Amino acid sequence: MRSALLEDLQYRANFWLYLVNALVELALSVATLGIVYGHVDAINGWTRDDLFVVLGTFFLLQTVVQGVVHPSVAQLVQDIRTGNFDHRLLKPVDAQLVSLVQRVDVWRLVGTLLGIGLTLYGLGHAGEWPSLAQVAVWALMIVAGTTIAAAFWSLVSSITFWTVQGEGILWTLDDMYEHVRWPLGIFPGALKVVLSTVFPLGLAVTVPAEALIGRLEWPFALAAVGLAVVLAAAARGAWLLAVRRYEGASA
Amino acid sequence: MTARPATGSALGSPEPFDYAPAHRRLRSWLVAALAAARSEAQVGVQYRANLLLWGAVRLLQAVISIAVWRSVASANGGAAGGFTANEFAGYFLTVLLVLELTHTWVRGRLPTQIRTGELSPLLLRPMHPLLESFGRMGAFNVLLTIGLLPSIVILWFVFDAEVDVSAVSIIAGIVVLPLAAVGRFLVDALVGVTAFWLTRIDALQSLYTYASLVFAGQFAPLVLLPGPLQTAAKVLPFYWTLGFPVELLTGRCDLREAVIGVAMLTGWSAVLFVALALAWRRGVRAYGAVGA
Repeated sequence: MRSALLEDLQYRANFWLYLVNALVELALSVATLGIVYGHVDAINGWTRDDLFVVLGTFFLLQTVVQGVVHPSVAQLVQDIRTGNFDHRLLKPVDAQLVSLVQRVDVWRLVGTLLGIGLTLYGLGHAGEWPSLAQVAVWALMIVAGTTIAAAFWSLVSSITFWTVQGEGILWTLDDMYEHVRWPLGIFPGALKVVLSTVFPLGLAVTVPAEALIGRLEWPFALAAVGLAVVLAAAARGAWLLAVRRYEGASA
Repeated sequence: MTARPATGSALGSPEPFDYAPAHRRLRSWLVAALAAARSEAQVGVQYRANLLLWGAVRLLQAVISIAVWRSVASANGGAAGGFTANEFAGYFLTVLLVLELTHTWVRGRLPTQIRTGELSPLLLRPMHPLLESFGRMGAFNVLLTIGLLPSIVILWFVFDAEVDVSAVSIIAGIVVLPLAAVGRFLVDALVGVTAFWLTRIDALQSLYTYASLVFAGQFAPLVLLPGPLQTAAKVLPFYWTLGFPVELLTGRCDLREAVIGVAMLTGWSAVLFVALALAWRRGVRAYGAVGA
């Protein structure tokens, strides 16, 4: 992983690329919020400031998903196809963990700053700073959210063992992540429950933001932690099953 | 004449099609596109998991848009920008349908093919690589749309979707959809072609994604955008390939708007076609010069 870091640091041009990318994405987010909140003041009680906090969480988790998990799993898919994965299995480090953190797209980590900045802006503009306890719950929910996202990716990537899907599925997953800019809380009751169930990433982004702005309901906090545990277990199970069926590209 | 999808070489005209007479050229183009389509359909069936996830993401996108704007409508006293909650549902489900029927992959695939050199063998085939890509997408889109239809129908009832549809708007929509597919393909291909000169086009790609999200009427119906953005959208090509066909299908265009729309779509397609042809010719030369 250190060598991957050093390799990336050489390509400084990428830094500017991602910076432009992040700024474009920021502009889009602000524009879409502007369009929606040009017509209303609040949706189901969520104000524009609240949504900035949600966007902050969105960018934080995006950094993890697209800066670490995506490049790592892409590497895994490639290794499976080329047969290099055989070596990986022989090493003493846990192969599933490695498959999720083996590559880091360093420059993409600028998204973290963006995430923190947006969160602070949203909180500051509303003028309601969270208590220490709320920050602690936020941290816990960020861990749960990250686990949900990583486990979900791992689960889906295990499918590549069976079907040799290639990288296309990773792009689809990125695409899916793009849609979690909206907190599940703005959706009416039944839809919120349905979406939390079929769309774990939505929950992953929503709950940390809710913790900060004091809207977190305990059932959803518990659901997030539970989901993180269940998904992690499922990802582990799928991985073990997949490895057992794996026979190497050359075999 | 039967075309073998695996090689794409059974075009019947061994000479480069640039020199073939126009009517034969058109015919071989069609055959080629159909062959590519059939091949893609076969590949698509193998990649079921990806297709399934892809479809799920598309549905999710529609559901989220509907939910957001329904909430806006109800917070706003029942309607926003002339759309009631149920009309928002009709609009976004139609967006989903049109997006799916005109979808392309050329924007992501072409840069990969250029970078890895996969394009080289494709250039040797008698079929133009872009044409092959277009045919492939056609098949993929039809497959996926058929797969998505049941879910769309269910969502239609769940959200009580409403559209003001007439026989005329449907016929107009059917005429305009292929035009929109061509227009969107040309825009996407033009983005992809820049990979001949630029090694990393990520920033351009995301700029494109977001521009089309806002300006095409994908995120919100055009009438809900602030004035300057609306004007920009009517000048850019994105709206004409998505928002316009959707508004036509949902009965939100009068005759004058329909005529203007078709004219804009055709005009943009012609401009983009010429630009793409020029860029492609120069690009292939630059590609060859790199030694790939």
